[in-house]
Amino acid sequence: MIALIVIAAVILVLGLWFFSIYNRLVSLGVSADEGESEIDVQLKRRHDLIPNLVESVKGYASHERSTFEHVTNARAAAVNANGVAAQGAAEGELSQALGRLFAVAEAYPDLKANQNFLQLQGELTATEDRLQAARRFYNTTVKALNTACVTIPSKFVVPIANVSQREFFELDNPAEAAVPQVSFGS
Amino acid sequence: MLFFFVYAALGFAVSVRFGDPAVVLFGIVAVGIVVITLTMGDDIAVAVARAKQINSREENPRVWDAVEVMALAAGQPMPRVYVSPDPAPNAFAAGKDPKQAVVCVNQGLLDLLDKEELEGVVAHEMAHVKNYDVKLMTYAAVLAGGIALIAEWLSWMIFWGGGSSDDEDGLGVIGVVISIVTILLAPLAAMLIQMSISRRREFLADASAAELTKYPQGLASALRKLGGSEVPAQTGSTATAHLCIVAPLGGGGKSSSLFSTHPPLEERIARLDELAAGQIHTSRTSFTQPLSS
Repeated sequence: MIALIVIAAVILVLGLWFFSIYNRLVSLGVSADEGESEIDVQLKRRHDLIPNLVESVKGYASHERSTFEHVTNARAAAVNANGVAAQGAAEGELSQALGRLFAVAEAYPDLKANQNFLQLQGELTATEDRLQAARRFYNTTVKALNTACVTIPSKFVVPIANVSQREFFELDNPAEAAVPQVSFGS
Repeated sequence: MLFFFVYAALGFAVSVRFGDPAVVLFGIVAVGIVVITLTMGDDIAVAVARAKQINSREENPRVWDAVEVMALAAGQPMPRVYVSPDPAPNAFAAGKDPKQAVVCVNQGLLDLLDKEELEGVVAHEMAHVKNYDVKLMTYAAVLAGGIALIAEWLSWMIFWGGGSSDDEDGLGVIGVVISIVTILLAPLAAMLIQMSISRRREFLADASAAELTKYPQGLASALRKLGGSEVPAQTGSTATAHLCIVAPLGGGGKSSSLFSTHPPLEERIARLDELAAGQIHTSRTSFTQPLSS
């Protein structure tokens, strides 16, 4: 009789333990999904701001065609990127292109005083902050999820919970990645 | 849950000593305090600080941005945002869970800190809410208060030489003295434990903030500036003291004792610097600044 009670208690404890691990894994998966969609929201904001920004710079520096093309192409590539890793790479390229655009804008004091340009720049900076925050949340969640997928005992619950490891959302640091472009002739 | 077990144990002890009506009163008072603090505590804290709510980004973009960015980084809904006119630099967060959170920043803080520092402070505050520190400290406070209350009742009983008729014979003077000393020390011990918990949670909030921002230097720099500030607080209460970024009442935060709600600033800064040294990469990037600089 005592043995039955002990066995029942052990099964109960194991069951509770299993449920808590399962719930944790599933919650991490849902949080990662939420993080990904939040990143998409911020990326869309970023993409929507860029055409107006390019137009406002063109109004003052219309001959800097290669810079504008670079930004527009990078933006198109970023919009079409699928999956977190591809998005990260494409957005890194876009950041680099935008960096060059703003470097170009430095040479035009009238542009830098233009209200429209300043407002767009402010909104873009705000969007960048939110993008970085969404990225931090996503990467923190993915780190926890990936760790749970490989550690014991949660790795045994993973197939039942139907979650899997995910990629991190990496944005290359544009200041490090940018190499000064020197071109002789145009 | 642990709270309720301990409270039930205390209640049982009370019932043994005083009989059932006292237990009922005890229970009602405890539940009442917990319910009031957890449901209305954030509104009370905001009212005490004479804070004004910020309803949209246009009203105060700096604070709004800092809070929204931190809410995104924490994966939490945006809390209610308040600014208090208090010129002393400080900030607090209230709210029993992340869905009902309140963040309040003093004008003095806004005038003192730059963007990264403000984000660090807001991250610290939201970490308090995320770690359910408000709930924890409410329970701890009620528990400590309950112990103090019981100790006072018991001391009265001994003073009047009363007690139940089941008192053992020959309690003796020494026994009485020991009882009195224990009863006097019990609330003291409870408060020491409460303060110790508060200090531990402050360190935890600093660490959580560093994780949220991936930039511990921001909060460290803010704490340095706050340590150097001598502006006294206009509004502050013991009830919300443990939720603030630095202790608002008494002591510049340079030294702390066992009775402080916050650990010493130097130690908080030192721990943040350690975290910063261990970082592989930070997340401070801005391509809107000229590349040439």
